[in-house]
Amino acid sequence: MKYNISMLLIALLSLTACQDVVTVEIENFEELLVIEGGITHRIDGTNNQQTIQLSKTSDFFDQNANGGVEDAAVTVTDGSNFYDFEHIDNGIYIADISTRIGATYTLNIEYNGQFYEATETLVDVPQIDSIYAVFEEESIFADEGYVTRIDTEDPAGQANYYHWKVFKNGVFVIVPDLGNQTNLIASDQFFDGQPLVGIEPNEEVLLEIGDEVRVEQHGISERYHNYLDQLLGQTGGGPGFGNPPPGRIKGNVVNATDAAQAAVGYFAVTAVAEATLVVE
Amino acid sequence: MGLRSIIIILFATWGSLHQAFSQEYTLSGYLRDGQTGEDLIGASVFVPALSQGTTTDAFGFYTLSLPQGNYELEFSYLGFERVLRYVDLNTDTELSVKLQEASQALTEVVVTATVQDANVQETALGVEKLNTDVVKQLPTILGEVDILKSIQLLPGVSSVGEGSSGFNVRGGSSDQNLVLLDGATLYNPSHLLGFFSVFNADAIEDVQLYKGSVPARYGGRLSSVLEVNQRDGSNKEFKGSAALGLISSRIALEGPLAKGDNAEGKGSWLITGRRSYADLFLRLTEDFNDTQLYFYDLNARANYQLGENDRLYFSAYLGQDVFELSDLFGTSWGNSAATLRWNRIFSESLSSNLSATYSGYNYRLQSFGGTGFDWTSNITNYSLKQDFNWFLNEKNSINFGAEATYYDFQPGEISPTGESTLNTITYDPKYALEFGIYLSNEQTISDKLTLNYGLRFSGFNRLGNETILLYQNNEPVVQEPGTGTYLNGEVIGERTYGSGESINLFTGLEPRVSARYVIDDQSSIKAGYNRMYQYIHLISNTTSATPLDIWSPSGPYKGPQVSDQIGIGYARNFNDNTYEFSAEVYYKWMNNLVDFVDGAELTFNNNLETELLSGTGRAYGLELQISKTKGDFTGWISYTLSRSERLVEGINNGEYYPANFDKPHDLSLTGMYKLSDRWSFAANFIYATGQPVTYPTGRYSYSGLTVANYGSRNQDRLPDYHRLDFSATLKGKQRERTQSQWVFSIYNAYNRMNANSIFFQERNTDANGNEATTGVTEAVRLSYFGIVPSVSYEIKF
Repeated sequence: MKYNISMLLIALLSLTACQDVVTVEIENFEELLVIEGGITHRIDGTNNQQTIQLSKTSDFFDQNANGGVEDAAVTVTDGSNFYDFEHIDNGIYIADISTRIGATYTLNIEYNGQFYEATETLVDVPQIDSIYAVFEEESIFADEGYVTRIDTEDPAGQANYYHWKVFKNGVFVIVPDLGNQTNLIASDQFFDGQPLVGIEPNEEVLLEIGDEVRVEQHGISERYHNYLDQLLGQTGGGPGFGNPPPGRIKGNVVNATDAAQAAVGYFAVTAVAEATLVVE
Repeated sequence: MGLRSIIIILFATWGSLHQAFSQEYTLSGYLRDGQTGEDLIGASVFVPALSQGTTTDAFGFYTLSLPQGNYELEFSYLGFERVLRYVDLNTDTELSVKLQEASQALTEVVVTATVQDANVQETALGVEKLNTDVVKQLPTILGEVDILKSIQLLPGVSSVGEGSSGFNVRGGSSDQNLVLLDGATLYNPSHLLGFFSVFNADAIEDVQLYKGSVPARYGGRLSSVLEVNQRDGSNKEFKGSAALGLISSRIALEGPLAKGDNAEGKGSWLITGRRSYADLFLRLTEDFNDTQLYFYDLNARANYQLGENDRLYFSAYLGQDVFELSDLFGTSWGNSAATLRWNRIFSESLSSNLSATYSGYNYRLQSFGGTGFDWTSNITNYSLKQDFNWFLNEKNSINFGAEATYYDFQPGEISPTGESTLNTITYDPKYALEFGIYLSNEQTISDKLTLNYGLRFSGFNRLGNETILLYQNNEPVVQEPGTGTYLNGEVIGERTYGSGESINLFTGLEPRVSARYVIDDQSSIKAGYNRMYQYIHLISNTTSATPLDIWSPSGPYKGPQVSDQIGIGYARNFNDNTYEFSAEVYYKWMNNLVDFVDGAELTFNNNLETELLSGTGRAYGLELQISKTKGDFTGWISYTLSRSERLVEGINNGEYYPANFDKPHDLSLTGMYKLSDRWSFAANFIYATGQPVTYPTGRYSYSGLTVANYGSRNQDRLPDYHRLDFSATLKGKQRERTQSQWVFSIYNAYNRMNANSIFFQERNTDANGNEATTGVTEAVRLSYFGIVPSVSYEIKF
């Protein structure tokens, strides 16, 4: 429930302010390892396949998709078992791991003579009690269409952090938007122990009759929540008035060989509840 | 040497000096506007025979100590006819004088100093003055006369950008300025997120900015003191004025108090109001027809002469910004302030001011719907201040006094609205008592050398009731080895303090010293040293402050900010004060500045200590100004060459980096030309180095989004900022009862698209104009104002 007063500013300055794309010289380029993915624990126990994706940073104005890192050695341990990840394609590594709430997972990567490490603990997530679609009229911030809503209930007496992902007809949907920071993640500090009714897991996903929508509700660590908070704040498009000036977003992956060449991205360990709906 | 021994030595010195000059007599009195009865502040009293003079204080009161004899005295104030009086001084004498406004008002416009030779004679360094009459002539954005924008035309004063609250003085952040409206603190001097200031020009007499030598009677902020003085109403007749602008309208009414059948009242009153009406236009558009968007200001001032030697002053201010998009969210914020002051003249040589003030700042944020909430936060303080001016003798003028301020911080309460299921949360209130005692003396050593030395002893006592968390190793923030990420310290317990129980006590000694040496009638050199303590901090990690930032007191995990500043200056007049030149250099060390961990959560946080870092800073610069103060053409050029840098562990590899408001070159040109009695023109030009920003060193993909990977903090710069503005003022014909005036302005005349920010983003619309991830990265410049013409109309009755 972080508040962003950018909307206020935009409304205010719609008459005089002006945005245009400009050319900027960027002098320094740093090539760093990028880590995405990690361990996902499905609370319905359906699937144990874990995915980690490795890539490298590219020049900011290089408009080609970042290529995958294919020759890294990736392992994860939960303290008693070691799992080797297998590279399948374009920097995607997979392994089958049966996961357990409360377990601590450590990622180890060896790439290009450098050793990387990250540790994260798996926290629980409540189930999605119901999922439904509601038709919304056009407003100043959105077009008309069906939006997805869910109901859930926050467990009392513990700090919970949430991350919602929405898949439309099987495809993960996200757009760079100012609202992401407010809508896609949440901390329960204001609703500890309360039923959450009518949560819109991603208000940018508009549906039509016949569309299938799947919502993933991830229980995440406080640290990952803070990471996503910065990431969604900085990728929202716009100056982010009321946000701190953008800066390097620090993840949890340490370069044990050379701390100055820290990896970017995050080794995430999350529990996930999901629900699916076809709009009728 | 302790405070006590310094005081003893100071008193011993004065005692002996007092005897040496005791056969002189004192001449004292008030200088007032003959038309309105207003006190004339900073007016000049001069004794040509002795080449000696003084100026009136904030109450229009002056004191001179002269040997027995016959004298011709010259009383003057710019814009008023000069008055000559003869006095046979053989006893202590009171002589009050009324000055008449010069037939052509504003034939001379005061730009830097109100008194002849003041720039050369003044002992203090880094003092700037602006009169509302000047401010009203300058070009404006959308016709809003703005004192805070005008002081940014002076050397050493800048701001982060057009849409930023407050101003920066000599490399300090905007919360390091003490903004006083008739002695009461204003916590946020801005409206509309910083585009306009809260000062309604109709209510303001003048402003004085202390950026170098801050008098010992002030404390509590690191960078500067901005004294904003409201004007007195007329004590002769009921008058008023009204003004219409594009953004807002204003009205001012004033008149005498307890006038009866006399020519003058025993006092006077003034009430002004201003309200913006942007929402009235917005409501015409379909999308915003339920929108509320406005701000208002109400100012009031009254004074009353209780007896020959006693005068009461009352001032009040209330202002609020309101923004509401129905069914979505609403926010409002505002200041309130009130001052009651009793001015008493005990004798020709001793006068006193006793002030009681109240200040408050509040804000509110509401959102509606399933997770709707209502969030309120405020800060309130009550203050009592006693100041004495003791005119010991011709050579020594002493100020001393004490003040105490009680703070009540309410960081916030959140409650659910409508069907919202949110819990109600109240963040811990915080309480504190700040106090200060001071003593200073302006001592004339010889014809050429004057010293001003003073000492302020300040303290801050954080009080209960409050529960303070205890952390492992007493560290609320720990830096993770490897990633360098700051993480919360481990809580190992807590301690509860009872109501009024002392949690922390901080104290500081603040020496304030300056010296002036007159080289000849037209030039002088000055030097000074200052130490300042700041005990309350604005918790803001945005580029510039926003209305929703909160103030937080020093406490167990955050000590006071401290600064030391040295400066050297040179002042010179040319052509009988037609031109004034000044040059100053300064160097400032700042300790214990507030900085923040990456991604700090500052708004909704009961334990802010886990987000705060401590840093040091240094700022240094050269300020040059040349002014033309007389004639049909007046104006000034100011140029500042400066740096302001910060050092914080864990940021920029532990090396100094430029502060957000570091602007090495800052030039402003301001000119005013009076063509005729009816037409006058003004223009200004501003050039400044672009503000420091952080550019990306690369990009990567995460969670379907393209993310910029930023480099070291503030190592790049926005393009340079420059802008030219014009204004023209047309006075209507003088009618029997009314006088009208049109002001035409063109802001940013050559339509320069100055970058307020450049942000790096993934383009979020595809070829069909639909919102989508595109993987295309771009740099986007945001400019707030292109060319903006405006007109406003004012009528006086």
